[in-house]
Amino acid sequence: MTEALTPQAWQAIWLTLKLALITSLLLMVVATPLAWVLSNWQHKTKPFVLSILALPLVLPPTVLGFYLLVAFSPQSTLGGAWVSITGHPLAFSFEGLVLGSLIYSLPFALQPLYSGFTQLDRRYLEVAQTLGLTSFQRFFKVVLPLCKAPAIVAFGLSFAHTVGEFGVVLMIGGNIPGETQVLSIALYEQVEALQYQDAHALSLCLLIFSFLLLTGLYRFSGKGALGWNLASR
Amino acid sequence: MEFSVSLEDRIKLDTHLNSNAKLIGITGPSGAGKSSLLRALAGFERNAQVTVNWHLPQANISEPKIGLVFQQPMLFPHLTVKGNLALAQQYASANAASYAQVIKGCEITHLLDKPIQALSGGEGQRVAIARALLNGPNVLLLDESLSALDIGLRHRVLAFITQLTMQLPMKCIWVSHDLQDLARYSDVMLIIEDQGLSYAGAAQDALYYLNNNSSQEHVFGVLQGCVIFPKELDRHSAPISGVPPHLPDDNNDVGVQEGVGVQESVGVQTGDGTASGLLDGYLCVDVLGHTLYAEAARGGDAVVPPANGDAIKLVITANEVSIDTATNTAATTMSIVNALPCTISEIKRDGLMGNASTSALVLLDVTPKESGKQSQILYARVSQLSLTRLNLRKGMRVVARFKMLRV
Amino acid sequence: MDERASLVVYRQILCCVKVCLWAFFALGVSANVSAKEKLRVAVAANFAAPLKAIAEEFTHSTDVDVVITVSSSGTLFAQIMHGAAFDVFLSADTARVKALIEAGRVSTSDVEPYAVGQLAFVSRSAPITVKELLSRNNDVLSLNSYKLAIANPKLAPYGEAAKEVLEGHARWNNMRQHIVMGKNVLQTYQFYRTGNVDSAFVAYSLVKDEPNVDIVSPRLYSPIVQSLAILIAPATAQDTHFSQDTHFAEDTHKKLDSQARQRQLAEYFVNYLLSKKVQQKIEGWGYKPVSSLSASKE
Repeated sequence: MTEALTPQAWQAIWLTLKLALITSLLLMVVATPLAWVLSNWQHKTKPFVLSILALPLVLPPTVLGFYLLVAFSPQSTLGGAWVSITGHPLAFSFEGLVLGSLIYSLPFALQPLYSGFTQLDRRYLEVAQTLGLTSFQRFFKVVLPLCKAPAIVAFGLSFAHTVGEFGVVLMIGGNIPGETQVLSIALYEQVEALQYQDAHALSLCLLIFSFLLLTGLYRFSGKGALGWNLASR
Repeated sequence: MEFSVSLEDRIKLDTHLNSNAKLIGITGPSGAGKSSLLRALAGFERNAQVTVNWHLPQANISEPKIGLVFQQPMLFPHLTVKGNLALAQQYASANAASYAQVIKGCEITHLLDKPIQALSGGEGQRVAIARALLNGPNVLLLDESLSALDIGLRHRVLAFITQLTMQLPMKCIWVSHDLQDLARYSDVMLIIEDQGLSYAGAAQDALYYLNNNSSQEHVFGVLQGCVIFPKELDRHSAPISGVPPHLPDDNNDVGVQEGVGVQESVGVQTGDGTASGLLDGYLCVDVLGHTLYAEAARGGDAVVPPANGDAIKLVITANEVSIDTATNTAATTMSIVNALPCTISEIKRDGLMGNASTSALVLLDVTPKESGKQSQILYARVSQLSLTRLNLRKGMRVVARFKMLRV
Repeated sequence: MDERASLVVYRQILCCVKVCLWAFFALGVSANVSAKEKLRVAVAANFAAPLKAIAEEFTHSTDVDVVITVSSSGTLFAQIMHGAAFDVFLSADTARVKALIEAGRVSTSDVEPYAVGQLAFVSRSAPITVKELLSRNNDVLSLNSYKLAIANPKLAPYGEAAKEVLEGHARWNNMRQHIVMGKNVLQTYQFYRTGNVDSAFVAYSLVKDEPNVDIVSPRLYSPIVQSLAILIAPATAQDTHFSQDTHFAEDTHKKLDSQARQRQLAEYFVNYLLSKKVQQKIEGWGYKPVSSLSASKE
């Protein structure tokens, strides 16, 4: 089957994996403290904030992509700042894709983490506090190890979601091989160009990969996540 | 020790306690506010106003370290038992007990490498207590943390904690529903009811309050005495551990009281009248000048056996006590070894819920050998039949007899 | 509930059901009575606007509703191949329609060009014209941030034409890094409109009203011939008179009748689209009439 994949296809695969990995890692760094803060925060505006953060789940990706296109334009604040700092525009670049994917996949990282954090029995933290750990130490030595499973689910889901990203990339990617032509775009191009054989091969590849990824994720989350009995014994 | 805790809708109390109290027992019905009190003391309730003057032995402790053990062990599941203990040690204060001592005292040596999920309820609680102790708290709060331990283990662990409160600058506040435990191991007791304090005072007085104010099926009395060894078998030449049988009031600066009656040979009287000395495993306890005998329970290895002059509390349930109208305490025609001269202070005929029952509760005032000493209260459950047959009345002088106790 | 009450409730429910059924029926009947004839047309995105205008006029004069589906040629091709029920397909190119012929979906006689597309170049900074872009002296290549957008040559004929223009002057390879591809001309134009690219090759029909538009000379690229296909086969292809079951024969006759009618409507529409009057109109939309093809062939 590897012969059936053109070099362009391999390039697209590699680019997709790179995008998904970088996005997921960045999301873990961003979403983890955010989810923690949210899980401890009580305020009457909390439902609004949660809704805003969940919007990318509901918005059509092309709508999101369109507004990103406008925001990335050198004529806008963000795009203009980017060009002046880096010298090239934000749209049609890998960095632009990463930024777009961060927004697009944020709820997929945030939700499992938020869920895991809110389910964490606060008494673990109270005990840690009496033992003398600072809030920083409590977060890294108690919260994170106990919420390892939701964290892995968050990583896996945002990875898988980014691999399947299409609408957003279609709007802001520009279809540049090696830079922004991810798997889903390459597939789309093949179907539109009536290159059905190539499309079949690439789709199969994508399907198998996604299936393996999700299976691993489910196996892990079934065994580990709630097997640790986050509620007290 | 001044205590003032106020948390809206959960608990409000203001009290003064004996500064020398090391073990403070708390009891009360469920939902009364006991856990809220402990949580507020630990600083977990932001809305609570808490002012406590702990009167810790070492005055240079600016902010006392407060450890809290919940009823659920709350052991960190991602670490083994050893890992949990190591974490506590990592952040321990300077006055923590030694690792070896705590492991032995809580009897968890065989559990060290186990993962948390493999522990039973009782094992988990012991590990949780050990973890708290290794952290070196100045105040240890136990919220029903011994509920899963069987009676022997409970006693050993409580004895161990008691010993630690003597050795270290540590006080312990513990919540329990087991009145016998509380009577035995608390210096003072707080009774919390309806989000407020119903009674605060010495254990036996609190018990008296409880016995009078709620219908208790299993009434028991507490006698305070101190351990004595007959001179011939005095194994310990070292001075006594220094805790007087009665806690001195804040106003009296009563120092250490020497053990009573060490010089006299108060030994076991055998049939031929010679003093044979103490048999292994039995303790002599002096209560108000009278000698009582108790079987010493096998203490845990970490617990130092009682020394001459140590204060000790004896818990005697009303069912165990019989009344003898023959007033010769020294009579040895019965196998019941313990005898105390008493005066009947009250007879309660009512059973539970006001129904007439077949037995009555007799309150006895134990007469001290030397006049001037304060009496203590003992309870006896007597059948109505015996009441009438013996014509027991208030003010009668009788002898209370009860079998060898286990301590 | 006692019997009387339950009876009342029962009658109320029955009443409701009757009303609903009646309304349903009435609606259905009225719908049928007022039903206009419908023609289903699928069109590539770039010709959508002109087609809508043309269709409106068609409906006005024939009272036949034209239902328009807009998508990309490639997507429509795939849908048609898998049974999408369109009557007429207006592609952006000729290749897709030829592919339909090769696949046996339509016959050669049912395919016709209907318009000729024009390529245009828009730019908001130097180089302003195609000539400048193609000249060897222009220094955009030194500007890393310069971006030129074209439609994806694999997917859109306008992209192919743009590539041809650049290749013809040996500029394709050294401009590669500056080129951004939109999935179709509309997206290409969108890139330009939002300011994300400095210049773009787009369909003239999209930018005909803008200033700074340079119509690319037709000599620089092969003509963009947009062809259509009638997807309904003529009625004579199926003759069921020899069927044995008369009932069946009756049904197919009915079906044949409606199919024949659809074919008729499709032919009407195509003829309308190819009529001189309409062909002249499409120049106003930025396209060239089909007749211009034969003119350029000379």
